[in-house]
Amino acid sequence: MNEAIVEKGLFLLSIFSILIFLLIIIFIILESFPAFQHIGISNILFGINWAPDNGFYGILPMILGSIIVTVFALLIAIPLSIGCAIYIEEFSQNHIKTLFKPIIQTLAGIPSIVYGFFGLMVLVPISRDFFGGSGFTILVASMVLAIMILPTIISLSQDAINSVPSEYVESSLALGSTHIQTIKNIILPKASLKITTAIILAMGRAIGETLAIIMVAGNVAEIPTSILSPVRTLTSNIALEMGYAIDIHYNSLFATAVVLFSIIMVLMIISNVIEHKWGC
Amino acid sequence: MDKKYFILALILIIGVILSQNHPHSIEINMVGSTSVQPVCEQLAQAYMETHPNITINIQGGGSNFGIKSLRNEIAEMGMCSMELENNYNLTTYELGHEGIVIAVNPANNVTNLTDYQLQQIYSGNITNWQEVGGVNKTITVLTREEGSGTLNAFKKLIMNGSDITQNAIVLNSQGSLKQAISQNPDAIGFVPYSYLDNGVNAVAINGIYPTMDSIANGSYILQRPFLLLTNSEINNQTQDFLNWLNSSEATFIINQNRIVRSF
Repeated sequence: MNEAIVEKGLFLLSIFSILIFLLIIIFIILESFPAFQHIGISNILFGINWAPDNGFYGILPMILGSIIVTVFALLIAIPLSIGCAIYIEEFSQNHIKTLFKPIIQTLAGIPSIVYGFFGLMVLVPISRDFFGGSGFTILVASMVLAIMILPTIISLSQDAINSVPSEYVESSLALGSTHIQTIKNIILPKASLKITTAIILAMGRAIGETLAIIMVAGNVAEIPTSILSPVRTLTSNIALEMGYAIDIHYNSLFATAVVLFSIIMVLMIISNVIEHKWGC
Repeated sequence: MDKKYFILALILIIGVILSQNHPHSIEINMVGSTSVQPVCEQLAQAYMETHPNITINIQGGGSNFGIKSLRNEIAEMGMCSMELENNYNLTTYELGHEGIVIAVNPANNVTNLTDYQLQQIYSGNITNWQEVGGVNKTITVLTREEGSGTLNAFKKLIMNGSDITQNAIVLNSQGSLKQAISQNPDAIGFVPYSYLDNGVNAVAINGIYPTMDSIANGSYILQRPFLLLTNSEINNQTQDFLNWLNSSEATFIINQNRIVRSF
């Protein structure tokens, strides 16, 4: 009797979280519907002009902006974090390992506005001094994002490296390969799937990041022409204008959210497919 | 088991009692412009100290939201930071005027711009400081996000219907905009008068610097009113609060926020 109640209770609780998720999706889609209806899907997705005052609601610059910033952030973060994970797991002594862990955890726990402030106060002026212009650039935004996703990739890659069976490593060493050869030919290939999922998770985080990016990216709704252009991402577009938007402008921000949501869903599906189809 | 429930119920009851610390308090709701919000919060706090039976709730959302809330009678007062185009039978109380300062980096040697030059800079036709008497450097134009009240006031007063250049860097708060100007010798931007400090320099518009006097007598053109709106029928508590705004205590707070009362 008692057990049945607990079971039902837990079932209700789990249904509840799924229900909230569905409600959010329905809400976003319903709110965005008038925008797609009045402006047209292709005008929203492929329009290159965002000027709500004049009736232009194209979000292509923001889609490209989000993708470009994320790609550059990954280019910076992947070598740094995988290198870091390999060092911690394979080379560092125990006391260094115990030192690294809390530091990386702290890095993950710093609120994004602090990263944004750091970017605004330190990286933006450096970028301006070196490259001229306003200093609000894709480069700075990507660097800030890269720092923010480092902990995710590092800790997940550490797990990946850890989970390579020790027999493989020992056999490789026993056969006479050096430590470096073992890492290169046994550990990394074996861990590569999990590392890929780590990267995709980080990608999701990077695309979703808002506050820090608003502070350093310049938020110009134009298709960027170089890595030193300012950029506006999908999330910044929503956060910047939601406070005051009314009517179709408001709905078009929800349309932006739908696009963002779809991108993140696709990433999640890819990471799940990788994990289940080829996962170890 | 019974004891547990008893304790839980006790906690709930105590919580409910504690959360009603003024059992007979009367609420006044103020909704509207986020620019007017900070000074209203300070005013409300001071007012509530001397009037413990009144609770003033303040919420942002923008001037238009304030007007809407008044008309739907979900608020007693609306905060508005722009000239009303249609007064909807609302009663207006003027809190004062806020100057909008055109700010540049202290290293910038440009001290005066005409309103036409300003319009040309913001519409992207003037792109180099040399064209307005400065050094040969590209102007970094900073602006606020679409919908910001300060941006709307700026557009209305300066832009004459033309659009802000697409190259303008968009920042989402007065604070970060001022920060960006204080770091960048080539930047130009607009911030409320109360944000003016040593980090940035104010530029004179048509030869007139923003000061308390020039804003009060209207010779400094970049300014907007801070209004409190009420419905034509008004309850005693709200009327008392509006009367209190003329007291020396309220005037002190308003002055401290560098909101200028016209004479």
